[in-house]
Amino acid sequence: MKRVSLLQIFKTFFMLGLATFGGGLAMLPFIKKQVLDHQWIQEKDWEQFLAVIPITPGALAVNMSHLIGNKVRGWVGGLVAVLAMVLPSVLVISLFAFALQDWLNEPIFLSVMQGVYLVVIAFLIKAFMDFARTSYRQPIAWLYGGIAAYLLVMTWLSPTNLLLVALGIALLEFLMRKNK
Amino acid sequence: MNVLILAAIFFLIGSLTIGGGLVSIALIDQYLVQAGYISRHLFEVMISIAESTPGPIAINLATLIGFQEASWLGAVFMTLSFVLPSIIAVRLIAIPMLNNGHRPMIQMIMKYLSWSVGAIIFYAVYTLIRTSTIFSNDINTTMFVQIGIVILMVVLSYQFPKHPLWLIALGGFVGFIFF
Repeated sequence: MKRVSLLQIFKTFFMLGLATFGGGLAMLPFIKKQVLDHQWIQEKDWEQFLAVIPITPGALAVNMSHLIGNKVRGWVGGLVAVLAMVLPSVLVISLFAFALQDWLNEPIFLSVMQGVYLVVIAFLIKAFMDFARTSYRQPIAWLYGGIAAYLLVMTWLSPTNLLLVALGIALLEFLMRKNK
Repeated sequence: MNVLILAAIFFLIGSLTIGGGLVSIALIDQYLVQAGYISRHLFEVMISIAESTPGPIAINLATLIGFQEASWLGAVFMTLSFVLPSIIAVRLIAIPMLNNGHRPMIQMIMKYLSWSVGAIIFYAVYTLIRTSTIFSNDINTTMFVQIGIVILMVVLSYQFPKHPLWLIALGGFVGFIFF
């Protein structure tokens, strides 16, 4: 395979970062199409990447870009891909943020944003349903998820503490199985 | 708030964002909104902007909040603070896992984390609706219209999964007409 230049990696991920809307989940199919078309990675690499990024901290699209960049041009490629993915956000958002203080007093802007907010809620509900369908397959998963959601909603547990509890339980179960 | 403290908070949020940027919404809510640093209303506007501009939603939120705090430099600084832990995590967790395959320990962690992430996304939806300054708290026509729009948008997002931008634009238009 021809050696891919860093500039090419930068350009590809910069354009992806600039042209895709709707957050990381919505971005993944576009990233997939681009990198498979470029033949930077193969379908089976993509599947493997997809399996590890959900347990790696960070935004999905950013971590995916990192892994692809790393595959193509080592750690430098990974870093270039991450920066290229993030840069358009910083540029575009900064333009928005510049005007935000004035717009916050603008009734028209606020009513448009109220409408957008409803769409965001809808996307979140969709994300939850998609996630539930793939992750909650056994009754025990529903039980765990139900109890966890109840504790969060009652604010007896913060999201941070829930993640720590999950790690603790995983460790316990691992040790118990090992000692059997 | 001190810029360095805010950067430290974003580093922490970046480290804890497991399962994608949606989880970071719940975390930013916990560390910045419930702590009183950002008002609920401003957070709602920020989420709406983050979703309707290109790029991952968590990155957009970090940039927006950073810009509020310390202009361009703040935007760059907060985004880097958020991204840095994930860069380290990919090198220390993801790449070794790709090379060595999944160990039983990792699978165990993965199982409980993914079950937790579902609960966190549910909680994020609940909080964003329950505490919203946008959603009507009384049972009246506005409430039914809002619920109707959300349900319609869920259905549309399944019908047109590749065109989130059109749905966002439609939502903005609906807001312009009705609110």
